[in-house]
Amino acid sequence: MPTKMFSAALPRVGALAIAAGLLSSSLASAQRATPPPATQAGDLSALDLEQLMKLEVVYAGSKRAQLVRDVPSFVSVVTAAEIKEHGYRTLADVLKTLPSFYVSNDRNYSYVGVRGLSRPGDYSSRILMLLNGLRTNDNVFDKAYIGEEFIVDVDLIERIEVIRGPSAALYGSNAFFAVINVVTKQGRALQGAEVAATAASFGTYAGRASYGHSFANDVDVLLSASYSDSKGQRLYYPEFDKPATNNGIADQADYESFHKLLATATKGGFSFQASNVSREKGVPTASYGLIFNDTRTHSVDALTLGSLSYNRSFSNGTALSSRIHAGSWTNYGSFVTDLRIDPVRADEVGKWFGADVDARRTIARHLLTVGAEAQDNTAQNESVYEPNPYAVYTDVRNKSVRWGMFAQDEIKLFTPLTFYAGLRYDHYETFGSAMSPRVGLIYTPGTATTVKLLAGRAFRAPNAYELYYDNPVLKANPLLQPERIETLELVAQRLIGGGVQVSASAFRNHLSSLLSQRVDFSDNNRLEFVNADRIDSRGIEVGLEVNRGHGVTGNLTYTLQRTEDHATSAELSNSPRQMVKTELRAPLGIAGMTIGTDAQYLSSRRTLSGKIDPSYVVTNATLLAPRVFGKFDVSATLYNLFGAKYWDLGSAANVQDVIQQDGRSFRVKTTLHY
Amino acid sequence: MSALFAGARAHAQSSSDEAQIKAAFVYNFLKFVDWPAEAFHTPQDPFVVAIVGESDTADATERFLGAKLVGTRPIVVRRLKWDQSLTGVHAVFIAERDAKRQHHVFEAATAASVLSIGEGEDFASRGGVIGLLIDDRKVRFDIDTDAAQSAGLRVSSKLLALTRVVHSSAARAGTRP
Repeated sequence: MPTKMFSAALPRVGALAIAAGLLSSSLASAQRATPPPATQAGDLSALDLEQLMKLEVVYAGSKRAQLVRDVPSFVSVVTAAEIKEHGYRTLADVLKTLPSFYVSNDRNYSYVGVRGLSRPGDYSSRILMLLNGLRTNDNVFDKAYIGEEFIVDVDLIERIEVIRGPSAALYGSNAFFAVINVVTKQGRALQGAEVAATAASFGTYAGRASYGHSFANDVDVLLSASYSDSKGQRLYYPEFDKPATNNGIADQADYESFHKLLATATKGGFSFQASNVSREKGVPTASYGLIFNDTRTHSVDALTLGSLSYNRSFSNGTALSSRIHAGSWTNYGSFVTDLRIDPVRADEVGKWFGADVDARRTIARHLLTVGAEAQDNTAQNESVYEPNPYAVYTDVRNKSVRWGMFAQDEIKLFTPLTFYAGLRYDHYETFGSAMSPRVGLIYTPGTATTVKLLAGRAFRAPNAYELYYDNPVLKANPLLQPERIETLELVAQRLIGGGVQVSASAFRNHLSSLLSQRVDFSDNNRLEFVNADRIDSRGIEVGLEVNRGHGVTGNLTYTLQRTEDHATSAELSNSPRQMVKTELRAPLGIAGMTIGTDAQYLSSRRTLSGKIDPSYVVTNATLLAPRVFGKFDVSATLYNLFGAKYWDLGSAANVQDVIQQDGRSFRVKTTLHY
Repeated sequence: MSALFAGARAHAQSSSDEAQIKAAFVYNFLKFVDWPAEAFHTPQDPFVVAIVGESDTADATERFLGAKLVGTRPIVVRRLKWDQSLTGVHAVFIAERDAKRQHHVFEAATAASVLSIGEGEDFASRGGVIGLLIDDRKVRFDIDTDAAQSAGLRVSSKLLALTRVVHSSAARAGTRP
C-alpha cells in the first residue's frame, strides 16, 4: 500500500475505472439464494414438507436470520460444500464466480470490483467485510482483504453471504456496494479433529490442523491453525526487458506465506471469537521507482480481532444482541529503492476497540430493529523511514472516535407485500456526520415469484490514509468529505418449474464525491486526495439457475453494464461491459465423487494508458472424492484449465500497464477427519 | 441450530423467520406420526401440544399452531414447566436447554406417549424423537425411531424418507457420528 509514495510522479487520472456494475445481479446461482416458496407466516401454512425443506436462511441482510428471498437486497450465498466442490482457495476465487463482482490482482493484493467499479490503485474499501458480523476492514485504509490476506482459512467457512447494494442504513461506512459476511463453522461441524494438507503449483505447500466439538451444556468450541508457503513464479515483464534489469525476469520475487489462527467458543447466549492472520508477499512488479528483481521488496499484513458477544431472546418477543470487540492491524512494507541503502520501510499500524448493540421486536405488523455502535481508534499511524542510516520521511499518528445509530422497520403491508424503511446516523470525529436511508418494497404474489424494488444511499468515510498521510510527495487533506452513492434497483425472480429459476434485474448508481488524487501544482506538485469524481452506472443482469436433483446443479449469469464519468461521459477504465459466469456441479456416480466446474468471461477493458486489455475466458475444474477409505476427503483442481492468457490492469503505481495473471495451475488437497 | 453469525452468535439468536419455518415443520410433524389408540377418547378430542421452556421457535410454534387442526382435531397449546405432568398431552416442544430438565421431560414424554420435538443437532440422539436443525442454511430434522417406539408412537415412512439422520440401534452400527 505505501507504494503510493513512490508513484507520486504519476497522478491518478480522473477517469479511473469506476465500473459500478449497475447490473444488479438478481440472479441467484443454483445453491445461492432465493428459494422459490414464500416466507410469510401465512404462506408457510400452505407449504408441504418438501417445499419447507427448500427454504434457505441468511443473516446479514437485516441483522437477523431471514430467508434470502426476504432480504431487501440482491443476495448470493455460497456454502462450504460449494467451496469444496469448486476448489475455491480464497474469497477472491469465490467472488470471481458471482454476478456483479470481478477481481484484479497486481501480484501484491487482490482487489474487488463491484458493478463495474474497480479503479486501479483503489483499495477494496467500498465493500464491508464481516467475520461473523464483525467488521474486518482495518482502520487506516478501511480495506477488505479478499486474497490469502483474509483472516480465516476457507476450510473453516460455513457460508459466505454477499448482500449487494448500499447497506449503510444498517452498517455505516464502507457498506457502499456490498456487504460480505463470512460465517465460520461451529465446533459441531467438525465433531473432532481435522488435518488438511495441500500441494499446489508454484512450489506451494499448506497445512491446517483444526479441532471442533459441541459438548453437553450448550458449549461449542472450535480451534484451528493454518500455515502456507509458496515460492511463487518466475515472472517476465517486457517493460523491464533490458540487460540492466535482468532482461525483465523477476526471479523468486513472487513468494507468499501466511499463517492463520481461529478460536471460537460459545455457551448459551455468550460467544467468544479470536482470529489472527499474518501474510507476507514478495512484490515482483517493481512498482514505480523500486529496483526490479530485488527479492527483498515485500509487504506483511497482519490482523488480529477479538470479540465477545451476548444474545438473548426475551419472552416478550424482544431479541437483543450485544458485542464488545478489539482489533489490531499492521502493514509493514519493505521497499528497495536504492542498492546503496537498506530497504525503505513503510509501516502502518491500526488499533481499535468498540461496542455495538441492537434489539428487535415485533409489534403488530411491524418488525422493528434499532441499534447503536461506537468505535475508538486508538492508533491510526503511518510512518515511512530508512532504517539504516536512519532517516524519517513521515511519521503520522492519529486517533479518532466514531459512532452511529440506526433504526429499521419491516412492515407487512398485506400478505404479499412487505415494506422496509431504514435510516442510520453516523458521526465521525474526522469529517462530521452522515445519514444513510434505505427503502425497499418486496412483492411475493405467489410461491414462485419475487419482485424487489430497492433504493438507498450509502457513504464511504475518508480513511486515515487519505486524510493524514503526509510526506514529500503525498499531501494530507484533513478536510475531506465522505464519498456517496445512490442506488436504485429492481429485481425479479421466478421459479418456472423443472427445477429452473430465472432472474433479471436492472439498476443504476450515482456516485459522487469520489476521492481521487490530484496534483497540487502550487505545492511542489505533491499529490493530495480531493472529493472530485462523479460517476454514473447502469446495467442489467439476467440469470438462470438449474437444480435437476440427484446433485446436479448449475447456473449461468450474464451482466451488461456501463459506467462513465459524469462530467465527460467517458467510460471508465477497468470496467468490463459484459461478464458471463457459469457453474456446474454433478456427481460422477462412482464412490461418491463429484465434479465442479466454473468459467468466467470478462469483456475487454480500457487500461489507464488508454489501451485495451483484451477479453478472456477462464475455466476451472475440481474433482472431489469424499471419504476415501472412510476418512480422507481428496480433491484435485485445475485452475485456468485451458491456459488462457489474460491480464489485469496496472495502477498508476505500476510501470506495467497490464499485469499478466496465472496460466494453468493445479492443487491437490487432502483432509483427514478423526 | 444455525448460529446466525456462526461462532459469534449462539442459539438464542434465532429470528422470527427461521423460527416460523421451524414452527411450520413442527405442524407438519404432527401430521405424520401415529399415536396409540388410547391417546384420544373421542374423535372430537383436541390435539394437545405442550411447550416447555423459552425460545423464538417456541413462541413461533405457539402462534403457528394456534388456530390449526390435525386431521379433524383442533390444536390446543399449553405452556408447561419442565416438572409438570404430561398427562393428556400428545406432543411437546422442548425449548428447555438444561440437560437435567430436558432428560426429565424426555422420560415423562416416553411414559405418556408424547411426541418430543426440539432443536439442536443432538436433540434426537439424547432422548428426543425429532430434532430440528439448520444444515447448509436450510432447516432439516433428525429422528430417533427407538425413542418413538419407546413412547408407543409410529413415525410415517414419509417423514423418515425426508429426515437427515435416523437414530436407532440398527442405524447406529454404521453411521458416522
